[in-house]
Amino acid sequence: MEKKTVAAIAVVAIIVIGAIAGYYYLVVMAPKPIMKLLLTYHITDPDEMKVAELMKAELKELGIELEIRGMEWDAQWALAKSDPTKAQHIFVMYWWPTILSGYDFLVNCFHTEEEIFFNDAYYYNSDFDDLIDIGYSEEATNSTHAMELYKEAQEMLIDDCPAIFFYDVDNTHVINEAIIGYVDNPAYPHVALCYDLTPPAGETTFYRAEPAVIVTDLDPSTQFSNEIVIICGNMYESLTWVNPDGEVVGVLATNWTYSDDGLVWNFTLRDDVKFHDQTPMNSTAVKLSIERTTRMGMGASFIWACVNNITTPDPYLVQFNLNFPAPLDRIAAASYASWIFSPKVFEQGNDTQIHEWLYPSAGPPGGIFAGDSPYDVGTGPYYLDEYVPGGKVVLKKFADYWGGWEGSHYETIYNEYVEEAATRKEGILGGTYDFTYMLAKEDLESVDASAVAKVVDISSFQNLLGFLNTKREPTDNVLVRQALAYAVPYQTIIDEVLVGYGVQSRGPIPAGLFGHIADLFRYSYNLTKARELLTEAGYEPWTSSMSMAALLAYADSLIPCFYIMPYLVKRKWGYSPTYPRGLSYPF
Amino acid sequence: MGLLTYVSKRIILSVLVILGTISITFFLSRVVPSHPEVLWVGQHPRPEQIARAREMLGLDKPLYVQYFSYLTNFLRGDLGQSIRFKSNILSDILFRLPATMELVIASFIIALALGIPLGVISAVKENKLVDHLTRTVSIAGASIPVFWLGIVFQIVFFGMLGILPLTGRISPEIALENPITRITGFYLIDSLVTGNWPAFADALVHLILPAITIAAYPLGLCTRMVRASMIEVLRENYIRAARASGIPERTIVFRFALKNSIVPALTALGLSFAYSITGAFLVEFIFSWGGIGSYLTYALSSIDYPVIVGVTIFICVFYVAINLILDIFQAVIDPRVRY
Amino acid sequence: MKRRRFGELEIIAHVLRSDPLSMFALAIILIIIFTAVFAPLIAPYKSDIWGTPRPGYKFLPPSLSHLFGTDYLGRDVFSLVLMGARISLMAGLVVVTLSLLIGCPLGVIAGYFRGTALDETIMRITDMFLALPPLLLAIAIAATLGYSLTNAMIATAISWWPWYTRLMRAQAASLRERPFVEAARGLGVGELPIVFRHILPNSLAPIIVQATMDVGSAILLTSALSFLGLGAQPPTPEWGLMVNLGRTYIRNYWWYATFPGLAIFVTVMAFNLLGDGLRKALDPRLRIIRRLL
Repeated sequence: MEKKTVAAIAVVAIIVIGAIAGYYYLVVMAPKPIMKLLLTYHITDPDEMKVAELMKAELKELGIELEIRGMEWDAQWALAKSDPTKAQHIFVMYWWPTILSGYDFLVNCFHTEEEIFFNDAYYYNSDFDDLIDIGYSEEATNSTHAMELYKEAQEMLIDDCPAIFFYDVDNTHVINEAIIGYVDNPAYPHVALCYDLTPPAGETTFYRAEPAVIVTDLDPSTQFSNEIVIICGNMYESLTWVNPDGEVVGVLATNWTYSDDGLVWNFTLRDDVKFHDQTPMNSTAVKLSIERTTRMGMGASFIWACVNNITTPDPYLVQFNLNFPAPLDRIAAASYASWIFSPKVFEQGNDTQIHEWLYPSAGPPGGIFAGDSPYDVGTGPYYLDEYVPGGKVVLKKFADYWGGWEGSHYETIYNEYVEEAATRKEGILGGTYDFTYMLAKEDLESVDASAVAKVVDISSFQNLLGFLNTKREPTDNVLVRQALAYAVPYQTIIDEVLVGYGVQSRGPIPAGLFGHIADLFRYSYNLTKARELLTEAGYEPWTSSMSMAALLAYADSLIPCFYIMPYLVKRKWGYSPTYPRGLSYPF
Repeated sequence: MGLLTYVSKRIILSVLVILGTISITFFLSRVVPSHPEVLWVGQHPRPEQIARAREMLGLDKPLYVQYFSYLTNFLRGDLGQSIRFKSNILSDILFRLPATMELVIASFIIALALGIPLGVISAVKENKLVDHLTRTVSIAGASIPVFWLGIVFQIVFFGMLGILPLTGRISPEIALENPITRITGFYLIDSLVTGNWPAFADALVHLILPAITIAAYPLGLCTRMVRASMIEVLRENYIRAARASGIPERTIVFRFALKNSIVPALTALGLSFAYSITGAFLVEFIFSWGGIGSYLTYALSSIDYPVIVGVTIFICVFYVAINLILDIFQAVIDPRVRY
Repeated sequence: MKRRRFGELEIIAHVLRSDPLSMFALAIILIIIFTAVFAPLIAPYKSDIWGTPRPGYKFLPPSLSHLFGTDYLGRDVFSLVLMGARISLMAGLVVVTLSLLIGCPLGVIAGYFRGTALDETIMRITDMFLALPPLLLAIAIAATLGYSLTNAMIATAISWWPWYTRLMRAQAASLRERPFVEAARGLGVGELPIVFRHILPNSLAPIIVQATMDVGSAILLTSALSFLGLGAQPPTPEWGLMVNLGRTYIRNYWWYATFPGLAIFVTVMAFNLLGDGLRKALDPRLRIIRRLL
């Protein structure tokens, strides 16, 4: 062989052997992760993604390898509902209430369930269940005692730590400066009551830019999604309404009373209300609406679970007989399933036929709802004029609205689906849109500072939870769960991810809802405490110098072809590093 | 073989291809563990609703039954129902098709209008600086990531200069005040026909950036194709003879050479159609164009399987049809191809 | 004195050396390979590559300390782009290798046994895959397999192999008639050994050209899939993914979307230029020159 070839082979051999030797040295010397966890978050939400990334970095300091995986909602949920010993360790999820009480959070997220639904921590605690069930039944009649029970229940949650309570996020709605009268109500997410707004001189159309497709169902008994922004208070109305300060006021009802045992409620109705199809509203309409909603059992119909039967002693008096005491006035103000609609729809046939008439499953004929539509049978100030699926929704003013049209009001509401946050931002700054939300948090300051728009920032009822799988190792150990809760950089999340538009949660119930306890103990960011707990649990968490060593060991990924090395190492020494050491990339 | 035999053979082949693609995409979409019924009922559903949705969507039937019903539906022209919008997929696609077509046709016009002259110049001045520059530009057109180009255009022309709009086919003001009556679905045509000048100008302005973005690839391809075939033609003997008899260079280039080199270049442009569709998807995503690409990318983020499968099959049929037409066209012109 | 024989490689090298664009492209590719291999060592902010957030440094504009600025969690974009070179290059190589491994044997067999039922079946299957624009098939497959870079690579490879089959088939079919193949057959060598020892090696030249350019196209396609959200997931510093994440911020923080995309452009362009140069070098006309030498 020629000398050149020999030299070339020798050089290559030296490089390869040197690299292998270096790799093995580093593999042996680098510290191993003490446990591996899987966290899932909703793939379309950048905030959840940032929280996941921050968690990953913090847990790396302790020697915990956290794999973060962005998944579609149904995939994430399906994984959680599958075998708990195979489900994810941390399930990050937003929650917001339908029933406007802290009970909604407690019962949906942590109540024992035969078949797991939203209790994705698999938290089975019958003491806890009893506390909150009794508490709910006393909310209306004996609220002090109910509060005590809720407090005990929440303290249980803090001790057992089945979830990390990251933050309560603010509503950050952006509205044109010139519009007067906008009040942000956390009980009704993203709803703008256009009737109450005073448009600037000469304007009659209210433009909304929606970040998500609005309409997935137009049936007031079953709808349970984003169409709240057109239905709630604009197209349909309910008996009562919750003010931003938590006070319950009447809408279609003027007054209500309840018996001492809380089982009989009487609502007095307005007598001057007409539905969009000109039928007058009376107690029969109320009874039929609520009964249909309960009968169909879809959407948020569960809010009426406390109702046994409804009677109509008088055309403007409705009587509810309950199975157990419940705050019915607050329930009737729920953001879904509380709508009163015209009894004339029953001419269309049975419940399914009505549903098909209101929202044809084959889609709107001709692709568009248009004209004086029969597709909306509410009492609200606006009726549905035009709807293009996946596109725009136009509401027009209902001339016979019971509130009258004196003064200056918007006559048309134009909702448009604008997917891009950047486009929505440009639109509102350019004066095209009057209202939008879900802009990038980093942009909010400049938008607020502009002369055209302002940001209405109030706390909402929405919080971010990370359910910890209590049925899978190692998160089945309460000490490990508490350690994880101490490892969350709460303030950094508020500063970096939310840019200040939120606060760290105090337990599962956000401020403003019944059951929120302002001085409930909450975890803070404390890695020392986390290390103590992990040691107590029998693990050996990394010290900060060890994580530095792991960082240096990244040189083991010097030559990409050595991706195979970890598998060889695994076979030989039974040790399985994932690539790269201490962290895993979904490569 | 005769023209008729060739054509019928190609048609049968195309049908087989479409069938195969449908089967592949169908089984792909059903094999993966997903829960479309959860998507159907929306957020915060109750167990009974989910069971009901499962039943309604036919997900409890065995796989081959679903496949068979899917095939029969396809033959009837029913591509299924979108889980998110609950609307008929085929009508959604047809509703959005003109938007995509307008974009792709506009980009092709730009590509041809710029590509042919560039190719000619490049061929005439072969191996000079102009040629090298053009060659670099055309390779750049093939290398540039279409999604990045669109974003860069947005940054420059919207963010920094502020002269062109960010997204959409028309501005919301025009949509409200001077709405375009829908005749063909092509905004430019419809607004022209109805004399809606503000809308026409607006639609044209919105069309500029996306069309140029998509045109980058076919422009590069066209330039190179024209250049290559022009160079071939210019070496032919009859061109040399024409030169020898004193005919001016310009006439030679534009009347003789160009005519003979265009045809192979144009048929090769059918290839770039596939890439234009690819580019159209990405560009529609960036510019929120509201065509089929936007429809598909929205379905991707919400994993709306019927839509993904439906759009894939539609594009496949469309593409096979175009290829079939091009092949027949080529077979008519050039009998050698039939073998 | 030994008589020097001008091998293929020497011809190619000679032609390439005289084409400045190709040399330039080769240099760029070598730089990219170097970056890919040594990224964790040469990056100015080493912990950023692995996704460690850096609170307090969010969205800093490009400056001397952060050449390409910082991202939404304060990480240095320049370091991320360097690491992305490794990921993209790996993706491109894996895709092309997989496609070659699937497509070439099929193509050679189809071409050698041209006209038989085997050939027809293989070609029909190839046509089926070619009937779809590449991105679309990749989208459909990636949507099925799940969103990750590995699956994006698999999806791209599945939509890519038909091209090689076609190319190989044409090559194999023309080589089949050559005298040396006839001679081998006459000597009694079996069909399969002929295919793999004689035909396959000799048809590699155009495949190599195509494969070189295809590394660039494969990088384009996988980054397009990541851009759509179907490929690499955060916090992987993949170029296409970064362009997508930066899209929301193009008005105020344009650097996060611009520089990774620029990296894709430069890389793909380099591969395409090199492939173009190789194609010119392997132009059949040059073979005449070789014979004359």
